[in-house]
Amino acid sequence: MSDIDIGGHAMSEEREGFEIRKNCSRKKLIDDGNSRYTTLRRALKNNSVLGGGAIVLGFLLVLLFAPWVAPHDPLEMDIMNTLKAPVFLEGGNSQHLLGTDELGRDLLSRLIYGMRLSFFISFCSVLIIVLFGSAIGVFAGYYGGLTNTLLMRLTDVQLSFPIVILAVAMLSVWTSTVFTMILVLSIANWPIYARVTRGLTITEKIKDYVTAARVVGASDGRVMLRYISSNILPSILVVSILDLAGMVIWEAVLGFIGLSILPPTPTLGNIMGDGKNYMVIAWWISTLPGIVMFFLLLGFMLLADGLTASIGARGQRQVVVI
Amino acid sequence: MLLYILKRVAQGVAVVIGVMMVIFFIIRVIPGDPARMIAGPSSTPERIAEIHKGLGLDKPIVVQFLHYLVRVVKGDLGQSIFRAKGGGTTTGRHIHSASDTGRTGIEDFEKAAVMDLILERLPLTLMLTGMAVLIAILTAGFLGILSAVKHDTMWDRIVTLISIVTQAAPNFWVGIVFILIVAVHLKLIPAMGYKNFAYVILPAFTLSLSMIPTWLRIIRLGLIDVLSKSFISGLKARGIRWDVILFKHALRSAAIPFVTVLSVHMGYLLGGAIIVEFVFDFPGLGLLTIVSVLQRDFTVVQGIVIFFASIFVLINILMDVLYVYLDPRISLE
Amino acid sequence: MNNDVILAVKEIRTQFATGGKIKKVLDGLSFSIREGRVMGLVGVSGTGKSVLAMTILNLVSPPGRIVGGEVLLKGIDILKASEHDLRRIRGRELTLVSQDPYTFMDPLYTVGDQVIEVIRAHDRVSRKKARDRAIQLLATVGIPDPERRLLNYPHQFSGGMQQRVIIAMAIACNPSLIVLDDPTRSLDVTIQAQILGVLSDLRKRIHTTMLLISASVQVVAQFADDIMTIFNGRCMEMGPKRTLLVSPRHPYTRNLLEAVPSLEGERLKRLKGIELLHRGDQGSGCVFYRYCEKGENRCRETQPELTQVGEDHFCTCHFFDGEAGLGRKLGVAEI
Repeated sequence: MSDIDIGGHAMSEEREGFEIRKNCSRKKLIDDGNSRYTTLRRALKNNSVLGGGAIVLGFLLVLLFAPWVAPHDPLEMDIMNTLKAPVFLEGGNSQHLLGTDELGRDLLSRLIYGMRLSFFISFCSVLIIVLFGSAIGVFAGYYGGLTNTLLMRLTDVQLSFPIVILAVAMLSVWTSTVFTMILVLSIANWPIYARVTRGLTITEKIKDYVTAARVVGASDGRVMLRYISSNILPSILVVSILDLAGMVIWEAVLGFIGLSILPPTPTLGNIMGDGKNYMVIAWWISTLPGIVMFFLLLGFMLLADGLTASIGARGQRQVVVI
Repeated sequence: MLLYILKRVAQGVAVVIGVMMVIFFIIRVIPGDPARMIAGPSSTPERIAEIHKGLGLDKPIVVQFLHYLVRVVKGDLGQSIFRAKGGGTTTGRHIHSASDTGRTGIEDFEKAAVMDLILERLPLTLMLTGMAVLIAILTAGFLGILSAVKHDTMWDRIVTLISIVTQAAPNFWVGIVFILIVAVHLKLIPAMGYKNFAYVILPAFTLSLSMIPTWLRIIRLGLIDVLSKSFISGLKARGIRWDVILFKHALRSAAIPFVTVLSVHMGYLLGGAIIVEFVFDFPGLGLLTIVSVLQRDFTVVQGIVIFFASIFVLINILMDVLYVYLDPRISLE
Repeated sequence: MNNDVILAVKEIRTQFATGGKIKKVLDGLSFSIREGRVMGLVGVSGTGKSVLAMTILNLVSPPGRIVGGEVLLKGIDILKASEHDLRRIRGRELTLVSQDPYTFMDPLYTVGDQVIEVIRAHDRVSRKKARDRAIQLLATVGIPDPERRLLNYPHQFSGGMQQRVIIAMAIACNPSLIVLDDPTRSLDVTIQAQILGVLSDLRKRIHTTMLLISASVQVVAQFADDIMTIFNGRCMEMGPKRTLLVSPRHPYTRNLLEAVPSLEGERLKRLKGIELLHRGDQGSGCVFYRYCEKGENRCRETQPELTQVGEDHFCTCHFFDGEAGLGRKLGVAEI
């Protein structure tokens, strides 16, 4: 008798709890002045978002349609035409709009394909960082205690290495392939996300809606996934937008030192690295990739700034550190 | 207070040891045999075994680590694999058997002690970083205060524009551009290398540019926030002078978020210094790091990483103490 | 104008621009305070009491703006004075005690630092003399162990003690007028009584003129000599305390007084609050029209003017315009 009764009682309680939970979340969606719809509308009216978005969109289009946009084959060498100047300088011609490198390869095409690869590396690493780092951060922030302390010490250890050294050290022992580049960048940068997410989680978990969800019987996993994560996700995404451009620059730095993927496959980094030997006579090889990165970063920065402004009315004054 | 510092130092030591473990294992557990690289491609197995023994690589890793730990505590960070004592590097062909303490016997060359190498180059890097921080604080401070006080006027917009442009330009690329413009075309300030203080200016300025936009933003936001607080009207109501209000009261409150970010930025600053040194061929610790990594001079890399980690930990502790001193409201926890 | 009038406020108008609309918080308010008197200003929350305090000190900042009127402190118009003069007047001749003592001080400096700062900002005294004076001031407002407390930070004081410190800073330079903006708002009742005790103590000792703004009729009734009731930035009634408490004329004043709980016989009299009685637009009439139980058409259409209804007793209400024998409309200039 008791088993069935108790079982039945528990079932209905759970069902009731489920109803209440559903109501809670629905209410939140209505009350919160920051529902996805209004935020989107606000974002689309924001100048920074429009400007930045346009630039970013432009880049993405060029990247996607690279084979059609690039005038030459980036690997095609032309020994008769080495170190030619860009078209806007003396000695340039419209055959090679941005000049050629030391092996006669068209710089514009190399830049386009290089951007493609650099961006791919960047995107993959940011994806890993956000997923992995945030997951750990939410866990640490939510459970506190030992998990938290371990995480903090671990990130401390990692943050004690200037990231450059870490990346450089890793690349000194691993050969540089696309995979290792992604790995190196991910390993070097995940602690920041873990730290930030942890901070955000701690702020969120003391808020009323979390307590409400717990009272009603939501499991820890559900709370973390459904409630906390969905609330901190916007902030994290905005920061990660900046990092998309940031990782591209990282790759460029490593390439400049000579630790990125080896030629002939072009990346923004190794183009600059190659070019540093010819700075006096062909300064454009090392300089032009930088201009590309400048606009890329500008675009992403504007986009991120604008998005923060559209979302930011929640009063979370997090200083975004680049 | 003292208890707090001691506690933090203890934690710091733990962190440094952690760092040591990480770098130690990374270098030793990787594919590729350092001994083989030192010996060269055409060497005999006996030679390789000899080098192994010399570097102490024949013992179990944990033992190696403990030996290393003991040495570090004594201040001995080991010896460079390639650099000789008086400068100049070797290809490593003359490395010798080592005793258990890991010191090389002198036969042809005496190898440079890592600690010596570090201490030799430290002053230069300190000069570079110090100058950069100075420039950055002065510039970010001035522009930040200006744009906060003249909030929403043309000055504010100009400063914001400068901030955005400076932030979007990749730091090392700016360095390259500077070198090209200033040294190659204008020939005003020296660009690369180091002979006297003038050689510090350009690299320091470049490095400061990586800090200025963020610091400017924080000072500005912090100041705008503080200036809207009630106690500022309170001070005005008591007839205190405006410049006193700004510099004595407002700035002090705005300094708190600034110092917080500063402590996080120390790491970036060190990293940035490494890159800048590479771009400008500035012979400081950063350049040493990169060159050693490229040469696979593991002991040097190891030593530098540990050194940096210790400095970083120390700076963090100092920042925390500074933080408590600045804000009497927080208790030490 | 009488010689012993310390403060004369004439037709001050302050506006706030929010969300594209302009809200007239103070719209032609006038009154005066004579030397040594305490004027109590009562009004329900949100009727511009704090704005009034800031207007008198000329500390209204955007989105607010003072758009008209005069504030004459001993003949000097605060609203037209230069920044330089203002700096000398504020904190010395004219001081402010605000609602929330903690946010009125800088949390990063010791209380001693800040009291000394006020003293030295207005008086050329040595650090030592300023420090001695600060200790004395803290003792005067009833802070025990003042010499040690000088070294404490604001957060180390309780709310009541913090307010005492603010009062100490307010009397530091022997001001001609102290404006107290709801000084007991953030304090609970027992502490409130203490602070009022401190204030009345001070009155006996140094005879300062005060303007006490409060939402509580009881506070004002205890402490003030003259009372003025304001609603939505306009004066409804003003006069000596006794007169107003015993024979209030304006419906608003009556409402305020009746809202104080009292026992009638053995049962608590039912409270009557201020409720919206007449719906519809504000119109260009009396600001109290919509809440007034006596409201009529002429109340909605035309603004009543300040009329004298007794000795020193004035009222802004149509129902007392032509009261027999006392129906003298008073122009503002005669205040």
